[in-house]
Amino acid sequence: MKNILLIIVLVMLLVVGIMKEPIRDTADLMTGASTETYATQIDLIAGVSEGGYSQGSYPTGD
Amino acid sequence: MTIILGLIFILGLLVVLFQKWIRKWNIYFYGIAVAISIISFTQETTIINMGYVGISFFFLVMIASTMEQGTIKKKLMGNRAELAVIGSIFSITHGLKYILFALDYSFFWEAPLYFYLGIISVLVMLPLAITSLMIIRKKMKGKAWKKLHKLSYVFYGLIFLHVILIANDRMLFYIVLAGVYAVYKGLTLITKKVEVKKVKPAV
Repeated sequence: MKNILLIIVLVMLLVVGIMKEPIRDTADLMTGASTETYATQIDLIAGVSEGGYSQGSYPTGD
Repeated sequence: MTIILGLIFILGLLVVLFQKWIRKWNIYFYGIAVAISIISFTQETTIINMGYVGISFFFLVMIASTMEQGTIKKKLMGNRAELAVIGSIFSITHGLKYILFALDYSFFWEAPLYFYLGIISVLVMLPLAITSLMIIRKKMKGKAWKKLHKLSYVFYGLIFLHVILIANDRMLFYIVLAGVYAVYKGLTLITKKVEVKKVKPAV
């Protein structure tokens, strides 16, 4: 019962995650690209990113 | 969120399917993890450098002992050491990457609290990871090893604090994960106490 409940909770979290985080951004991160969804706070502190994108690689809106 | 949970499911499945082989050839898996970590370290943004892979491994390590007896628990517990060592390798990469980043951009002494919590958690993790290796573990007395590994709870607490205090869009997700672990651990401890009381004869 405990194990089943745990799996259900994790599956629900996964579904919420897929709904909240664009699959495109997840795929982009897996290939090494910075994205707004996975923007690191520390980048902003260091001043090396704006809106989750590295300096020099701003989105073009394509 | 998606990455961490996806990895938890994939790693869990791999352990359930290949537990015996992972244990048998664990040294090769450690070598592969080190090689992947080195490659990741040379890159800028990877799921290893960002800590997602490390935390996925550690969530499985944490939750394994709290599960109900069964095949999944047996398999996860059978590979707990391997999961912990490989998770540590990836976490060290994540930690080193951010430390060098902080030094590079001169904010090491002005970083937010979660940054220092991350460093402390890696330092706490190191003796746990080293003593998870069978070669080292065999040289230690059982009681001493168990005593040292009580530090795991400190490590888990630090990890969750580290990710929660980043206070990004995934904060609630990390709080839920921490809550799930805390509830399951609590239930496990209560169950153990009840069982001990049943075994002890009434005075």
